[in-house]
Amino acid sequence: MEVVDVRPILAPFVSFLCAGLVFGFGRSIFWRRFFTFLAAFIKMALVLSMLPGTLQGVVYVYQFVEFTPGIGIGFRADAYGMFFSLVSSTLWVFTTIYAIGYMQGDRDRVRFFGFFALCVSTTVGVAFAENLLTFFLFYETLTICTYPLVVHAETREALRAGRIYLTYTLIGGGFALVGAVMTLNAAGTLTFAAPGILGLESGVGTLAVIFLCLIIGFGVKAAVMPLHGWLPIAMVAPTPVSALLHAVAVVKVGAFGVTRVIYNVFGVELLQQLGFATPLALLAGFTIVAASTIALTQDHLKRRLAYSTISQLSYIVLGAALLTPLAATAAVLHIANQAFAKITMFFVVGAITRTTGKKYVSEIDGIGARMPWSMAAFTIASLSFVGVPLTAGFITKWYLALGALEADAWWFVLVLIASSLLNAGYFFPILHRAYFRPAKEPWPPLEPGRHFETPKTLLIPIVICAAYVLLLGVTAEVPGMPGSVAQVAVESFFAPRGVGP
Amino acid sequence: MTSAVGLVGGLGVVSSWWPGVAVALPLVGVVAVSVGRLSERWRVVALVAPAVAALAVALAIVGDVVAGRLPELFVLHMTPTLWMVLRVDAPGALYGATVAALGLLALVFSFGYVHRGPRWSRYFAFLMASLSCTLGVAYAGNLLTFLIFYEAFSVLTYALVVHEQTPEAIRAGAKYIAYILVGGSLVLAGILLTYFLAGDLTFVAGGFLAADVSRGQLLAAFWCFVAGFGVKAALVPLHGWVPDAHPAAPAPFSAVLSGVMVAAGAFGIMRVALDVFGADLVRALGVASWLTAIAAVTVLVGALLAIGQDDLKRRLAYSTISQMGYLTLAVSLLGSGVMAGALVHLVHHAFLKGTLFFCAGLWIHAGGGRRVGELRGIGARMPLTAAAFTLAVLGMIGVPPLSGFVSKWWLGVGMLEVDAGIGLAVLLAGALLAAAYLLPVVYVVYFAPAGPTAGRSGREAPATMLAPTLVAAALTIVFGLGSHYGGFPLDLAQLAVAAWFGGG
Amino acid sequence: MTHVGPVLVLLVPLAAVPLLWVVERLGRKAMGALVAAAAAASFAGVASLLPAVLAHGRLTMSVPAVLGELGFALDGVGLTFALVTTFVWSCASLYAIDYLHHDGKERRYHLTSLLTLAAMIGIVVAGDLITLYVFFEWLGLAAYLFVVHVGGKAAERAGLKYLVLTLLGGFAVLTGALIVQGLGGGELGVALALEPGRETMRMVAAALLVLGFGVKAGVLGLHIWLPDAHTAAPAPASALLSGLMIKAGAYGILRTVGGLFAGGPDASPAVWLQAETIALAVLGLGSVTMFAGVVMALWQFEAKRLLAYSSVSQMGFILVGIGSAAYLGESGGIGWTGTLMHVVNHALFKGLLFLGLGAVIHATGVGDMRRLGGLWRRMPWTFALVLIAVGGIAGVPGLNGFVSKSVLHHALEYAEGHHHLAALAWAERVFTLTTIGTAAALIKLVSLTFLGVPRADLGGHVHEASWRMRTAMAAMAAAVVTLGLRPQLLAPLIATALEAFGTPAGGVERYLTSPIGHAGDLRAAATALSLGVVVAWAAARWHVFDRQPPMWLSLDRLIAAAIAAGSAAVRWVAAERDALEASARRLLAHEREVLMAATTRPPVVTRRMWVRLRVRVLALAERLSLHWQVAERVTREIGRRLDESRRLDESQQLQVGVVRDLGDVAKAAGGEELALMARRRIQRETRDLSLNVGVLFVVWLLFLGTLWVAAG
Repeated sequence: MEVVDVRPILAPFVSFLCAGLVFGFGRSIFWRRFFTFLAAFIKMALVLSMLPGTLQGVVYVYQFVEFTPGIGIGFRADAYGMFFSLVSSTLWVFTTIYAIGYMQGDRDRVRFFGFFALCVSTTVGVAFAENLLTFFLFYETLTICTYPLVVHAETREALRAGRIYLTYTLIGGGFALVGAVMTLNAAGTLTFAAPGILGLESGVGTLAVIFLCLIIGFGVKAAVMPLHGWLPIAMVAPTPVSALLHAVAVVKVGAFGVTRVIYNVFGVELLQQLGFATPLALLAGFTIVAASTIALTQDHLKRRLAYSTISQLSYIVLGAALLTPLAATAAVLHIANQAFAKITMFFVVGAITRTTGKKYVSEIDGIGARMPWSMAAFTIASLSFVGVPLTAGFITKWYLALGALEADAWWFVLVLIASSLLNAGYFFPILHRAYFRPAKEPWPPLEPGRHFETPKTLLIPIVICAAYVLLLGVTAEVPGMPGSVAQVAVESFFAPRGVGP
Repeated sequence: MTSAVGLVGGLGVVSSWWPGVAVALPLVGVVAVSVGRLSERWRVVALVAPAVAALAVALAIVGDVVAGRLPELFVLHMTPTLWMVLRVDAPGALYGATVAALGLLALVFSFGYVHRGPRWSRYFAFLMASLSCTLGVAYAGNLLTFLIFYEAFSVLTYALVVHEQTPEAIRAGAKYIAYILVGGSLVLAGILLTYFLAGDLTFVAGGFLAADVSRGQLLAAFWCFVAGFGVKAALVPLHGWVPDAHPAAPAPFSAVLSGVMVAAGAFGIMRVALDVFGADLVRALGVASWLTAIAAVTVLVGALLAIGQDDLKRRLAYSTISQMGYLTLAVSLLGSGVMAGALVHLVHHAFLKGTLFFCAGLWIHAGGGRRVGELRGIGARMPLTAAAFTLAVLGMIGVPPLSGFVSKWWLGVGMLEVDAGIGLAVLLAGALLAAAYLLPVVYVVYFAPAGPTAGRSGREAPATMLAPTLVAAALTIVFGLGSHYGGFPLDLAQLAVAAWFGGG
Repeated sequence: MTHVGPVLVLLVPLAAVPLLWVVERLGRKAMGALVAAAAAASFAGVASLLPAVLAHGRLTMSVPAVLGELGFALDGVGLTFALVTTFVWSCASLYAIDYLHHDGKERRYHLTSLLTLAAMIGIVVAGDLITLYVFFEWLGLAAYLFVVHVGGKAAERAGLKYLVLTLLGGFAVLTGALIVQGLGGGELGVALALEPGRETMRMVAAALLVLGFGVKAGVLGLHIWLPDAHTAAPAPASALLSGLMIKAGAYGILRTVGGLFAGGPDASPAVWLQAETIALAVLGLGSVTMFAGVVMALWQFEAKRLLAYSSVSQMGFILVGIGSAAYLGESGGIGWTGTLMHVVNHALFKGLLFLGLGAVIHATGVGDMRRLGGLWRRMPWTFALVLIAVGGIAGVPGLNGFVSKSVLHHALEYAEGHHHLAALAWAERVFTLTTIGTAAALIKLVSLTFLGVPRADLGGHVHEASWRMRTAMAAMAAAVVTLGLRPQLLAPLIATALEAFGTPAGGVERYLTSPIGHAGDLRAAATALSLGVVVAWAAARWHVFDRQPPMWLSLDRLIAAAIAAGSAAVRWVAAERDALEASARRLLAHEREVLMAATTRPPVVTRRMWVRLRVRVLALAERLSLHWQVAERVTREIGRRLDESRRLDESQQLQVGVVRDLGDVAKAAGGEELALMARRRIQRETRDLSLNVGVLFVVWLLFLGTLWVAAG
């Protein structure tokens, strides 16, 4: 049932406010950190406080403004939104800690943390958006306030990357807008609803165009091939940015949008009648394999991770496009699973660069001895991507494959297994070099008075996230863990037809 | 320690901690060498003590199973429908005890063999870890648990294959991991299908897959499993990694690899055929004859390839391929007698091949070299080693009254039970070829005039390496003469087939 | 009745084994004495069982061991074999004390002797087929040490041939045993039941067993190992091999034909049919073997080879006996009598002959009879004893061979009279011919070795055999004579044996004594001997034996040729491989020199030089990667070399450690081909994964794809 509550709007607002404060008082390191943390924790508290309700199926809504009936800015914390905001707000905390350690002595930290906060608030806004319009607004805002972070270094390379990023995303945004407007025409409303808001009466052609526009619009950020071009290039951004935005917030917003479109705009029934989902699924499958294959050849660590991200995101799209409960569960769960594993990897890579200055796979021979904790975390994360049981990744693969079988789509099982092999193909060599190759030159020694391989501010988030990957793997269904929320969300997707996993 | 919670096939399943303890014990050693700041002596203690304890527990479990109590331990629920459980039945107990025993021998042997140095503790940590996981494979109660431990030890093993870090070791390691991962993913595919078809993964003697589902999907699942486990079981043509990994790895580990880890693949095929599909369903699917063909090819090709090899360990590796083929062959014939023979063979082969690799290791260690040609007349200088080697060779050929003869005999009798003349022919051909590729080594060792290496290689190895070798060799006699005693492999094997085929 | 005796007897030689190491300190003769004592002790043990066996017929005992239990049983048949075995063994061991040379290999000889003795006893006291197989295999492998004892090329070749055939035989027996087990049999002396539909399988089992044991018994075609092995072994060992161990094969066949596959009184017609077929088959094998054996013996000039071939022929006699006895079934008593008697006799005189000739070889160091001669003066004792043995084997009345051959002959005639089979009539003629041939061959042996004048200067050192050797031979000669005059001594023993075959034991004494003073037999013997003399003389006169038969006639040679061809092929391949390796090594060695020179040249390596080295390495790889083995080695080498040079460069602060950078260096140094090679190298690096994962993955994808298509 729906309960009017202010928290859905508060959640994004907090970090918005925080951003303002940072811009205001950000000169002093103390206040900057103080506000950032305060906001981060408050927001997490807010989101968590809604969790129990969500688990009982309560949906918190708050209508902000309504221009005309059906068109307005409103917030709605349904299970799926909750899931996404949980993930992003949790990770924001860790990333903040990490960023503080990482950005030490870097330039323009006020700008950095300010926009950082903005991005997070918009992400949560997207998560809680009640209708396509709100969604679109936050979606575009996100694009805008990510730009300064991408070009943070302000090198020629960075600026170029920023340009490419903007081009891709803004064009995508345009498509999304068109899609939204057409949806309004066709359905007369923009408010997300469980069974979907569109109907066959508005004609297959129109529906096809709408679908195409919306998918392209959100697919850009979801980096579905061939719309993935910006992602590897944007890796020039500082590692915390790459970590939170390019492994979690931005790209996941895209995937989130695709899912919303499929389940809350079109609805399962309609799509099954139309059969639009199948080509999308095929595209996603192609992306999964192709991106992984490209990743095999990357020597630059972050680029390799970027391509792995591209392939992993398509898991979500694929899961959504298969239109079966189990697959949907996989899609929702993977938002969390991929986020935690991938952010761990980015953190580790960042730590390596910070500690040793190495950026290439071929340079990190024997680093396992120098940075045991980080490499252990990296190992866990890569195992999760390979889909080894007891890690988060396995749960996704399991549900996704079962979903594929459920949908009689044999080939996707093949795709999944292929991709886990390819994952092994590009992650294990890294591990091999790290553990089994002698170091080419002595690693820089620990700074005096250090007990750990790298500053604690970098190490702690790494360890926690890695631990969380394992936790997700073994306790996927404990109430309160993401799994349970995902169940509720999926039930809501399929509720109208009384289909549940 | 136990309380009855249920009955399966007339055997009491009792909840018990022991399987978990057995699997966990070796990890103590891992912690001790990798984290602990212990002195040399205490490290050794911290490694051997858990291994001995694990062996003791494994044997205790064997006792339980013989007494008709199947220990069971729930580990954790990953999702409401997926959980890890250890449940020990007769084949599991048999395999587990073998793993623990051979593992202990290899561990002791390694102290003398593995050079002190930075990689010392890594070697032992990984050895213990993979032993623990192999025990897990033995005691796994459902497909998922099986897969978890199976993958785990396969991956851990990589560190041991590349231990010496020579270019060929690295190369072999890459090949190994590639093969194993492909195999593992195939197994995963099979498990997915099984779960999709049956909604359950728990082993049930006699199988739990129903025949009424789509034949095509059943076939797909079966072949996924066979191909997946076949990689580990070194079924031709999936055997590519075996002849590279064995020579590259340190000898004591080659012994374990060949003795119990390759067997894990065959064990998996047994599990799938008899605990997941069940003999009747496999018959109904009509895949048995194909499997027989593959296994027969494996036995013969492996043996034929072994004949040419100059590198002793490579030759032994090929012999492993051929010998493990027997197990698959037995599974494919779906007879109670022949399965009993196969289980016995699994154990006996483990110790025979262990002895052979230990001896190869001793010769390498003594500077005798890896190539057969370099062993000329070394029997005179290392009589005990040569004696152990000869004993094991005779066992491999199946000379009575050694253990190899017992397993061959039961295999043969079982094959006649099911009128598998082909099987019998393959069995004996394999044994003859074994004579053809192993006896020449013995001849070189004893009768060939001493070669140029005579000066370098001289003395018997220290007791820490000699003792395990001799113990393993002695076991071939013990298992041969004592095969019929209760608690010995044959006894457990008959329990197992009784559960699988009813009556047995 | 249960009796622990048989097992205890088996343990006697084994108990002596550890003592060898103890006694060794007292000197090598002491070891020999120990073995002789052990053999004598086991003889005593077996003899002590005689009353029990005569009283109860069959002593059984089961020991828990392999396959649940080993069943032991000792009946008249087994006892007969056991007695003669242990007796001859004692003599041979006594003889061996002085015969063996001081070559430090005595302990191995004595050890082998004890082990084989134990195995022999084990075989004859085995109660079921498995136990029999266990000891049979054991005997076969242990005896290998006898064959290769002397060492040297000839011994090795003989040993190889022996081993291969023994293993093949062993596996045939094993398979047979398996099938018998499968058919629910296994107990020796109990006829194997025959369910309808299993006829073929039963026949297959019988064939496998007969052939498997036939290898050891030296059946024609499977005999090829025998002459080489018996010649290669030292004389006492030859006596054991030729006198006793081939009897193990005969024993196996006897148990198979007369026990497992015999048609008992209450057997079904089907069983009878099979029994008869098997019997005739064995009989046929026997007659062929005995004739071929003697013919081959006639053409030998190597003393021991001649004896070995004559052993083959004598085994033929025994097989004929077995065959005819089995053919006669219930009334086959006479056949069994002849067979058992001949087993005993042949062991005695053939053992004696080998010992005697051994003495000659020991004294002269010459084995070729054409270079011997006139030794009767130098070695009168040996001459006399050998003469007795020859008399025995040639069937001189008053010596044991005469008796057994006559009985066998009677059996054959009797069988022929039964159904007047033409085949049996022929067998009878062959039998007669063979006796003539045997006489001729042995006469040739004696006359060439001892009579006439020395044909070569043997030096003054030729001496009479030592007293121990003479005692040993004398004991056996005594037995030959005694059994020749008083064959009925064996009657009670053989009577008990007949019970094992389910034939009435009444007539044994009559059978045994019938030849003595029997006009027909005497005439036959006389004819055989005189014709033998004539043949021998004629052949010598017209130098028949100097014309060696063409080599291609020799089955032995054909097989040897085949083996040689096979091994040559293998060797060729190996050589090819080594050559390739060698070439690779040479090239690499050259490269290494260059590199080392470069690295050691003070003060530093220039970038250009470093590049040149790398070019060489790459070029080398390109050149050699034609052959995969070589390519493998070379790439390994390159890997190592790259590491080396990497270390080298870092000392120069050149950032060229990583292979990727090789490309830059190449460009820096200019040179198109260099850049190209660098690129190739890089490709190889990046290909590592696609090689390992990619290729496998594609294969696997196809595999699964087809599966799923099949799955619909």
